[in-house]
Amino acid sequence: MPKIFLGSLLMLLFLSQSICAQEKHVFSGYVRDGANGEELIGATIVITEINSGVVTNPYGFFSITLPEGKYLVKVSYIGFNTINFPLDLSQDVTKNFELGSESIVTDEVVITSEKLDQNVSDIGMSKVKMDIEQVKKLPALFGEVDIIKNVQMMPGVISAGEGTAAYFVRGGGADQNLILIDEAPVYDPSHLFGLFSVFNPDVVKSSELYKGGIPSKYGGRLSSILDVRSKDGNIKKTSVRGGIGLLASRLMVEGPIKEDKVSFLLAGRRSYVDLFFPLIPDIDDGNSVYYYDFNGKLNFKINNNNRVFISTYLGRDVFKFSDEFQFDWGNRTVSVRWNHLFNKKLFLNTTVVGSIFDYGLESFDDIGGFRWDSKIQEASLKFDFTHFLSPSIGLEYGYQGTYRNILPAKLAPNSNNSIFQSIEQQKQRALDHAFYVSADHKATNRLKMQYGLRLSVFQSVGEIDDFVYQDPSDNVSEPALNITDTISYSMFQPIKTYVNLEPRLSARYMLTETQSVKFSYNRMVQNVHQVSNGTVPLPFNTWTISSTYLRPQIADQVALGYFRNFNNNTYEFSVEGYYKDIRDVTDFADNAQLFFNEHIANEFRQGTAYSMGLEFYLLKKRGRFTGSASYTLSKTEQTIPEVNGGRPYRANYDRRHNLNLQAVFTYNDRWTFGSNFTYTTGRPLTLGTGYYGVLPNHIPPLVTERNGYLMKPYHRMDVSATYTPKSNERHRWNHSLVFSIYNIYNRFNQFSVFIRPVEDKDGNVVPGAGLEAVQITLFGILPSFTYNFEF
Amino acid sequence: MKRFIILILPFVFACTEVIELDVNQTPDNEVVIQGLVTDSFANNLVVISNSLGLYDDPEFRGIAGAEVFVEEFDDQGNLLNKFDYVDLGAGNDTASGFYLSSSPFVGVVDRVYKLTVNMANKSYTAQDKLKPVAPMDSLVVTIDEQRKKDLESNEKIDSTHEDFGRYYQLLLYATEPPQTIDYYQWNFYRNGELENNDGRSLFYSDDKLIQESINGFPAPVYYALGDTFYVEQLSLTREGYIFIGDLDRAMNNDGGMFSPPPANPRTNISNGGFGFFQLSSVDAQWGIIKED
Repeated sequence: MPKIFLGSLLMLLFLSQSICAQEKHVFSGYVRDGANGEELIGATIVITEINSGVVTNPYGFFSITLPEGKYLVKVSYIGFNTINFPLDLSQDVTKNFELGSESIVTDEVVITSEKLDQNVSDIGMSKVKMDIEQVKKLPALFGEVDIIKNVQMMPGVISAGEGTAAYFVRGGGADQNLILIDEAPVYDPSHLFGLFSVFNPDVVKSSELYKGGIPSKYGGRLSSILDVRSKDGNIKKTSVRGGIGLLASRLMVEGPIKEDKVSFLLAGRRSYVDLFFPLIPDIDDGNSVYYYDFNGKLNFKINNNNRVFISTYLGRDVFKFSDEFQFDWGNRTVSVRWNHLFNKKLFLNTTVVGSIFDYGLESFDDIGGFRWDSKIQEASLKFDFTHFLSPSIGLEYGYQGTYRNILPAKLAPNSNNSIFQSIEQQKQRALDHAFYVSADHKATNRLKMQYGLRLSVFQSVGEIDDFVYQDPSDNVSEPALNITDTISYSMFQPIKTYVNLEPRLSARYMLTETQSVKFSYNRMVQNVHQVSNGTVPLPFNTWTISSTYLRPQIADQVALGYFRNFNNNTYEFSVEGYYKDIRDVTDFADNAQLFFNEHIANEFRQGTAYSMGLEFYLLKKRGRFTGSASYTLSKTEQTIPEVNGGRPYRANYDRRHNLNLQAVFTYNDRWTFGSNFTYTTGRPLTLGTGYYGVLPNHIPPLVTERNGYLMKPYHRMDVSATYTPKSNERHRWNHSLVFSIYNIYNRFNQFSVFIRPVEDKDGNVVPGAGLEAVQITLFGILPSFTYNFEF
Repeated sequence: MKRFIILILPFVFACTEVIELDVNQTPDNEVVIQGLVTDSFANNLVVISNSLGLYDDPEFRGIAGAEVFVEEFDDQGNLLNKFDYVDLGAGNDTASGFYLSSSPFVGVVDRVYKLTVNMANKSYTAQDKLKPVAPMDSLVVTIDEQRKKDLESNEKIDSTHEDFGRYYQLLLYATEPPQTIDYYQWNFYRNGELENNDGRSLFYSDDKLIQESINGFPAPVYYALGDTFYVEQLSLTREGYIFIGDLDRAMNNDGGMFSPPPANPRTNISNGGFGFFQLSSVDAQWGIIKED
C-alpha cells in the first residue's frame, strides 16, 4: 500500500508539472498586520480571474506561480479589511501586504465579497482555529482567559474534569495530544493543578487544534495537535498590555528594538492565590500556592529572505503545605527559528527546539523526609520546506530529529535523620527521526487534495542496563526471579527500533460555492507514553518511551464531513463523522504500582481501542452577535488483555453526549456580554459495588467492572460582561473591566466519587457499619473580575 | 494523608459529601477465604464467607459445610503432613464459616503450605511459604512532647476521653538481614486490642525502604501510663506483601488524584476466590508503660 501511494503521489506531481508550458512568473511576499507588523498566519491571497489562491504559511509567507498577465488580487484575513491589489505580472513580483483592522463590526457594516469561506473551501477538516480575541470576550474561570478552556469547548473535545487543563480528543487519552508552543512541545499545559494553562492570552498569536486530517508535518501523538504560536513583538511601536485579576496578574511589553528590523516581546504572569490563605479558616500558616511564567521573544528581520525568531517559555508552579509537603512542576521551552527564502518558490524554516518538563515532590518530615524528582528533556532539529510549485501544487517536506532523555525518578533524603537513601532510576533515552512529504493539490476547481507520508523511525538507545523478563506482564513475582538477563547498552547504542509509515490524506470537494464535502484519513504513531493511571488527571506525570516490551501506539482515523456556509458566510456549519481505531493503546494492570518502579514494563498492558463519533458545529463569526454551538455524540471502548478480565470496557474518557454553547453580544462599543454553557455525560469511573471482610477487621470494596459506574452529568453556565470605557485618543490608553460569573446556577458538579468505610462526623470509622460512597465537588458559583489595560 | 490530599487537590475548594450510589449489580456471592498459619503452636484458623453488596446490611455471611485442609511440603515438594480443619459451627445452628485445625500445629520455616477448600460446586486452593522473620532488637518508650502539649491544651480531652494521657510512643529498633529479600508486617496492640484505625490502616514494608536497619521508628499507636503494649513483627512472602499493599490501597482510595482506579487485591486464592492464605513467622514483644 505505501508503495502504490508514493507512486501515485509522484505521478500527480509530474502531471501537474507537465501542464505548465506558458511563460510564468512568481508572485510572493508576506502578509502582515498593519498595526504591529505581526505576520498573519493563514491569510488568503485570491487571484480573482482564475478563482484560485493560496494561504500564507505559519510565517506569513505566500508564493504563487502564474502565467504572465494582469490580475486582481484580493488579500484578506478575518477581522481585517481586504486589500484589492492590481497585479501586473510581467516579471516575478514580491509584494508585502499590511492589512488594517476592520473598524467596527456591526450588522449594518457587513463587509462582503472577501474570501471568508475557508470553512467550506479550505482543505482542512477536523480542525479548529481558536480566535483569541473572541475567547477574551467569553466568561473565564476566575476571570483568567485561557485558550485550553476554549479548546475544551470545541466539538470532539472533552474536558477531563472541572478545573483541569487536560482534554480528550475523539476518544483519545490526555497523553495523546501534542501541545506545541512555537514548535516546542509542552508536556504539561497546566498551572495551579489545571485551573489555568501555560498560555498567556496576551502572547498568543494563533492557536489551531487538529483533531483529524492531520498534515504529515505533524506527528508523534495519536489524537490531536494543538499548535500555538506566539506573537513576534510589535515591530512598529512599543506597547504595554496587562491585566490585574483575582488570582493572578500579567504584564506584556513589546516593541521594536530597531524599527521594522528587530522586535522583542516580554511577558510575565504571577498568581497570588496564597495571599488569600489567611482569610480561609482551617488553613495552616506556611502554605503557599503560586505559579509564575515568562514568555520572551526576539524577532530579527534580516532581509526579505532571512528572518530569525528566538522564543522561550519558562513556568513553574509551587504548592507547599504547612512545611510538610511540597509539589512543584514546570515547563521550559526554547525555540530558535530561521526562515530562509531560497528563491521565490522555496521557503525553508529551520528550527532548533529544546523542551524540559520536570516535577518534584518533597516531604519535610524529619524521619520520612525526601525529595523526589522526575524530568523529561528533549531537543529537536527540524527542517521544514514549503515549496510553491504551481498554483495547483504546493509541497511541504522536511525532517525532524529528536533526542529524548527521561529521568523517571530520583529519590534523595532531605534531612540527616531521613530513613531514605539516594536512589536514582536509570535514565531512558531515545532518538526519533521523522521524514515527511505532503502535497497540496488542486486537481480541479472543485476537488482539492492533500496527500502525504510521514516515515517515523524511533529508537530507544543506551546507556542503560536493560532487563530481559521471562514474563513481561508478571507484576507479582520477585523481579529478580522474573529477570532472565540484563543487557548493558552503551551510550546511543540502539536497543529497539520501530519504523512506521504514516499515510495522510485529505480531500475537499466543492458541491456549490457555499457547500463542500471533505474526507480525511490519517495514521498517527506515538512513542512516548504517559505513566499515569489516576482517575483524575494530575498536572505532573512521568513519561516513558517505546521499548522492548512497550510497543508504539498506532491510530488510524477516517473522517467524513459536510461543510456549509449561510448568509454570505456569516454562519458556518459543519457536521463530521469519524472512526478511529487504535492498536497497542496503553493501560495499566489492576493494582499497577507506578511510583518508583523500575519494572514499569511489567505494569503496562496494551490492547485495542476504537472510537466513533458525530460532531455538529455551528459558528457565527461576524456581526454584533457572535458565537458557536457544538454537539458531539461519541463512543470509545477499549479491549485489553488482563484488564477488566479481557472484556471490552468504556475508556475513562468516553462521554456519550457533549453540548457546548458560546455566545458574545456586542451591545455597543462599551459593553460586551458573553456566555458559555456546557453539558457532558458523566465520566465513567471504577467503583466498588460490594465489599467483603478480611481479617481482622478490614472491609475492602469489591470491584466488578473497570469504569463501570457513570458519574452524574456535568453541566454549567457562565456569564460575563466587559466594559470598555471610551479610549482617550491623546493618551493612547485603552482599558477594560471584565466581570464574570462562573457556574451561575451554582451546580455542584461531581469531580470524583470514591468509596470508604462509613465515617462519623469527626472522620472516624464507624466499626461494622460497612461502606459509603462519597462525592468530591469543586466549584459552586464563582464571581470574579479582571482589569485589563493597554497603551 | 487523605484529608491532606483532599485539601490540596483543588486546594481550598473541594467539598465532600456522602451520596447514595445507584449500583445496578451487587456482587454478593463472591467467595472470600482467609487463612493464617504462623510459626507458633496453635489451632490455626480459616474463615470462609460471602461478599456483600454495597448497601446490604453489614453482616458476616459465613459459608458452612466446606471441606478444608492444609498440606505441608518441604522445599523439594514432598508432602510431609496434612492438617484437617473442622467447621466450628458444625452440629449447631449458629454456623459459622470459621474453620479450626482439628489439632494445633506449628508452621516450619522454608516449608510450603497449601490450603484446599472444597465446596459443593467449586474448589479453591492457595499456597504460601513460611519465611523467617528478623527479631526486633528493642522497643524504647518515649514521650511525644508535641502530642503531649496538644493533648494537654485541648479542653475536650478530659480524664474520661480515650486519648487522655496517651502521648507515650514506642520506638522500634531492628536489624534487617541485607543478604535476603524480606517483607514485613506489624501489628500493634493496646491493652489486648489491635489498633489499626478501625480496620483502615495496615503497617507493612519491604526491606528496600528499611535499608538494613530500623533505628527508632515510631510506632503509629500512642499509649498512656499503665497501658499494656504488644507488638508483633511478621514475615511476609512477596505475594503476601503485594496482597497487603493492594488491600491498603483498595481501602484508602482518594477518588483518583493519586490513587489508581480501585481494584481487587492480587491474591493467591485460585479460581476467582477473594482473600488470602498467609504464612508468617512472628516475633513479639510486650510490656507495660511505666514511669522510669
